[in-house]
Amino acid sequence: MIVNTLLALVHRGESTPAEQERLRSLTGTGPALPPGPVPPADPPNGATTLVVTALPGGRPRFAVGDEELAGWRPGWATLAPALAEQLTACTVTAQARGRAVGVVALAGSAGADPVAERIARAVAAALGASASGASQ
Amino acid sequence: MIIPWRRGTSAAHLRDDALSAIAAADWASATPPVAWLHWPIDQANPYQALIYSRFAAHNLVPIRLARLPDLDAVTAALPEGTPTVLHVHWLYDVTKGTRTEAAAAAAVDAFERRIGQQRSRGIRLVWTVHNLLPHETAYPEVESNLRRFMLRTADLVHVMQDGHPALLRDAFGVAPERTVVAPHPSLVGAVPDWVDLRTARAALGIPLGARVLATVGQIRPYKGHAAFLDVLDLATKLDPRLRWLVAGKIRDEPGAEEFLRRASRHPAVLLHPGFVPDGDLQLFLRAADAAVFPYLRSLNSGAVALAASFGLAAYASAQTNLADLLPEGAAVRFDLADAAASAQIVAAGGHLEQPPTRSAVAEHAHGLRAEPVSDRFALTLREWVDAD
Repeated sequence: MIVNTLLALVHRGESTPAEQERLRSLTGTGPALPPGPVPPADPPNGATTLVVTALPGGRPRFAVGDEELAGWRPGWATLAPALAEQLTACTVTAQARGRAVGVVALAGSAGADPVAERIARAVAAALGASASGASQ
Repeated sequence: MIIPWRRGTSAAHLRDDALSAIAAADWASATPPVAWLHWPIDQANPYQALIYSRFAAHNLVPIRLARLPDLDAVTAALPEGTPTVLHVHWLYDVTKGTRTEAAAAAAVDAFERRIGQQRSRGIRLVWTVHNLLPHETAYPEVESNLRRFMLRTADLVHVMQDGHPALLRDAFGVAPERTVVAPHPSLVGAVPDWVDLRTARAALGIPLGARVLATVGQIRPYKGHAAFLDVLDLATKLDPRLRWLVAGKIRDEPGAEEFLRRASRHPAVLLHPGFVPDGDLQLFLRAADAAVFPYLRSLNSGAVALAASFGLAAYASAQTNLADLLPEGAAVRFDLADAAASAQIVAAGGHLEQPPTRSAVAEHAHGLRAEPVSDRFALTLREWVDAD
C-alpha cells in the first residue's frame, strides 16, 4: 500500500527525496551478490575458514581465526537494506581476500539468520570458497 | 528494486549513489577499490564523463560530488579502509558568490582548511589544471593564491600537455612536486556524427562555394569573438567567399550585446545563438572547412578537441597555446593585435583546409578517443595509488 502511494507520487513527479529514498528502501530487497567476478570454486589446500556468527541485535560478525573482520557500519542503518547488506559483503570480501579462505562457515544461530547466510554465500562466491552451515 | 531518481545527478541522493557505485566495484581484486570523489561536477561539459570512462576497469570508482561539504557524509559511510581520493577540477566554486576581495580571500581560507582536514584523514588530493586562472576573474591575486595552494598541496597535479608545468611555474612561481600528463580526450564516438558536408551545408543553408570557418561553443569575452570580427572585416575583402559560422550560447557578460549587434549586421557572419544540442553539433562542424579559435586566453579547450574530432584544422590566435593541442602543421597562428596581417593569413587559406591536413587531424583525434586516454590515465593513477 505504501509502495503504491509512493510510486504514484514518483510517477506524478511530486515525490520528495525522502519519499524516493523510502521507496528504494521498501523495494530494495535483493540478496547480496558476489562483490566481484565469480572465480571457479577452488578452495585452496590448507585453507583458512571465515566464520560468520550472529551478534545479539541481529548483525553478523565475521572472523578469520582470532581476528575479527570489519563488516557492518552503523551509518548504513538508513540505507536500503539490500545496499547495506551488499556493502557488508564488499567489506568482508576485501579483508578476507589474500587469506586463503577456503570455507565461509555459518556458526551457531547465524545458520538460521537469512542476512548472515546471504552475505556468507556472496562472500564465498567472490573468493572462490565454499559456504558451509547454510540452511540450504 | 525501484530506483526512483536519475543516478548521479541529485545531491539529495548522493550517499546512496556513491555507495551503490562502490558496491559495484571488484572487492575480491588484489588492487582494492578506490573511491575517486571528484568535485565540482559539470554536466554541461562532457570532459568528466570522458576522462573517467575507463576508471572502473582499474577499480577506481568515480563518485560525483556536487558540493564539497558532502565529502564528509560520503567518506564516513564508505566501507572501512577504502582508499579515497579527492579529485578537484575547476576552482570557480571556491570564490563563487563573493562580492569583495576580502570575502573571496576568506572563502579561499575556508577551502584550504577543509582540504587540510581531509588530507589529515588520509584522503589523497589530485588537482586537474583546466586553466591558469578563471576565464573572467574579479580578484586575480586571490585566485592566484588559491592556485599556489593547490600546486603546493596536491599530492598529484594533472596537466593536459607536456608544456603546462612550465607555464604553471611561470604564472605562479610554484612548481608542482608531482605531475601526470593526460591529454584532453577528443569527442570521437562521444557525439553524433553521421552527416556529410553537403547535408550539413543544406541543413544550414550555406552554399557549397563558401569557405566556412567555424567557432562552436559558448560565446564568452575570453574567446575573442569581437576581436575576430575586425579580422573578418578585412579578410572578406581579400576572399569574399569567407563565412564565419558561429554557434553557441551567448553568456550575459561584458561585450556580449556589442558582439551580437555587430555579428547580426555582418554579411559574412552566420550566427546561431543558443545552446547547440549534441545531435546538431555535426551540422556546424561538418559544414566547415576549418575551425577558428581567436581566444584571448585559455590553457585547454574542449572546443578544440570537439572541432578536431570532426577533422577540422584550426586558425588559432597567437595569444594562447591552443595550437599546440593539434598535430604538427594542423594549426596556423594569427596575432589579434595585428588585424591586417591576421586577415591575410585567414584569407590565404591553404593547406589547413586540404584533405591531407584534415585526415591528419582526424587521425590525431581518433588516437585521443576517450577509451585509450582514460585507460592510460587510470592505469597511471592506479599505479600511483598502489605505490603509496
